[in-house]
Amino acid sequence: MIRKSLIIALIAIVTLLQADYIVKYNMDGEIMEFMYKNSTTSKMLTNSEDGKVEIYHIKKNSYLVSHGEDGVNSSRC
Amino acid sequence: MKAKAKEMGFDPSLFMQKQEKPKFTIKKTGKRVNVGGIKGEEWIVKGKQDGKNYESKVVVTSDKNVVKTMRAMFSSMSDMTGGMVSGDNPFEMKKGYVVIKADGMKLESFKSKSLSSNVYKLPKVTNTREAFNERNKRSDQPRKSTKKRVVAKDTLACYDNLCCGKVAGESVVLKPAIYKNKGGTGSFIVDSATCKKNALGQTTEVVIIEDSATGHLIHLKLILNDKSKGIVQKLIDDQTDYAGNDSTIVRQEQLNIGGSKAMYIHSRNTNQQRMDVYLPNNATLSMARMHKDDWARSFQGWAEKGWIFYSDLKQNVKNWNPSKPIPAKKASNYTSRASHKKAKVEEVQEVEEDSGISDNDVDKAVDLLKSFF
Repeated sequence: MIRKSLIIALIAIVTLLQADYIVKYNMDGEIMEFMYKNSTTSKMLTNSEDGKVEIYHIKKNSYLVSHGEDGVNSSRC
Repeated sequence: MKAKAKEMGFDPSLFMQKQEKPKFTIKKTGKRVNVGGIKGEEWIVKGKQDGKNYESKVVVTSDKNVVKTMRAMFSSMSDMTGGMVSGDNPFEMKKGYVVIKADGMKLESFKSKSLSSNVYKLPKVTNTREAFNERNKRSDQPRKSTKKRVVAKDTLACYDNLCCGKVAGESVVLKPAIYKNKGGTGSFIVDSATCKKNALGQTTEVVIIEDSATGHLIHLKLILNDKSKGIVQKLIDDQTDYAGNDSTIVRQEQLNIGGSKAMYIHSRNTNQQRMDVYLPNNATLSMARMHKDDWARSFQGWAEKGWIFYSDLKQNVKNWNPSKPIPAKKASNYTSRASHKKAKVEEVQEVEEDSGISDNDVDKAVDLLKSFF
């Protein structure tokens, strides 16, 4: 019984440590969403009339991706 | 990176200006408030900005996870602004306390949930000629795909969907400067609007014109407070993207259109003709034509032919008053391809709901399964 409880507690802790954080802000009517896995992996998302803009942080690199009328454009920053 | 962000339509400096941290004093009211599911406390902030005294209520939280995430979010935004020191974080008014509600901003939600690694994967660039043709073929046929698939792949919807659906009212600067063709051959306006101002501070107007000689749509976008030099320069700078996709520009020309400097490009892979005309008062008129089969007429010729009264447009730009209310949009008989698609999506949704299994049910089942692991 104790062993089972320990395993459950361990799984709960591991799950908690691996959980991502998702924060949504309303900025002047526009929703800004930020997804955070860890210091090297995160993504920010904004929507505007020009389309969707995403900012990816992967390891030490940042990428800007825009989904607009001319398709999906991207660039490494 | 800041310049790159601006070129792609995201001007973080505008956002950061709004959040500029002034000198202030804090008075804690002791009132507990819940915002977006997070416990917070109310503070009254008093200070001086631009020579004027102000007083504002804010709600802050010291929730460690929220603070940690907001610091990371600010760091992400800070990269876009060319690097700001952590002390300038407008979200963190006092060390260990972040703002979750203030004038013009509010925390909607904060969740802790395991996300698939796919969420952080870079999407594939889709602005290729082949992808565009494929999407057009599909749009003419009944779809079998689900709602999620239709929306996710519909990246060109804004080409003939005014302001991507975010319309604020009628076009007041651009439309009056376009020749009103009543019957006969030539070009005519099929729809027009002023788009909703976004949080990044850009105001745009859109007019869609049909060139009746070819049946092609021409998309005109007027960016009124443009600080990123339009769209063409961005496309020139980004000829090769991170995924190695070559969006080679086969023709690039500096022109003079209607007495203003202009830049023209023809992109091979997207088969798109684009021209930006640089107007006074930081305004840019960005014109695009994208079509399937041929190049029946010169785009430059079309732009110079007299459909746009450039002197009127320049005058309208100079007279533009951003604080003036935008008149209601006039009715149009034009229905965009995107609206047709939306109608089809709704039909698909109805069928799915009739079957008794909705997307939500499937998502819940997947979440439940995930919870076992």
